[in-house]
Amino acid sequence: MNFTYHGLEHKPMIIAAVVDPNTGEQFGCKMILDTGCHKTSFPAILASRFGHNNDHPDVVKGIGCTLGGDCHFYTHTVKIGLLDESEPVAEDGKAIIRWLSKSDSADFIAEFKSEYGIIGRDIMREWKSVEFSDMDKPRPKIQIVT
Amino acid sequence: MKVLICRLAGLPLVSAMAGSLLITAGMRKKARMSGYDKLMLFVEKSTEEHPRSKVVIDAGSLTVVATGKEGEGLESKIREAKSGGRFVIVSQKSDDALSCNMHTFGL
Repeated sequence: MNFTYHGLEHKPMIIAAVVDPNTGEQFGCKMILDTGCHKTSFPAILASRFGHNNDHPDVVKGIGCTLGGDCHFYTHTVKIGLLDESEPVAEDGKAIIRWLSKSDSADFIAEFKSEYGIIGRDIMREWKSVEFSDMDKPRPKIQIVT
Repeated sequence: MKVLICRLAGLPLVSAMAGSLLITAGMRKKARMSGYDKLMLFVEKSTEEHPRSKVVIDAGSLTVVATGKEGEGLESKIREAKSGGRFVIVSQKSDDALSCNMHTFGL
């Protein structure tokens, strides 16, 4: 399956669906495609929005490494979905997801202060290819083959 | 000579027709903007219009359902917007100069 998206904010950033496989709930999220990041990540503050609790005793916690130094993360169960290009949302207001990741976990990082997530290589390795073009244009083109 | 005159006279017509076709093609191209592109443009525009706030967008109706800052009841507004399983996007203007390094990681 082929997907062609235009990036937001002059970046390789797309609108993706974040899906909680336990409840089936879907959330829209801006996500940067970062080939330098091995694990899909979100700001920790978004965990509760996706139905998770960073303070739950069963949540896997740890210390990782980022460009900014050590970081504290919480691992939660989420899948990433790619939206239909022609009709991303159905008439009933629900997202139309054409591809859903097999990977079902992401790190929620305490020091990550933003309103977007990062799609890392754990998701990208499930794709056949990803290509960036027109990177000097306001809306870079991102082509994903799954 | 007559043929030449006819050909020359026909040029503007051909040119006009070609121009018309190009305009039509251009309109078709514009009309063919994908649903994803419409959503993306709406998210960008709404975020630009509220540079100091988080913007809660109903992606189905392309409407801004709430704006605000964290800790100002924004989470309850998001939960309300999501009622019935609607696909909601929360957006915030990111700082280009600092994103992905100092600002992103709270340094």
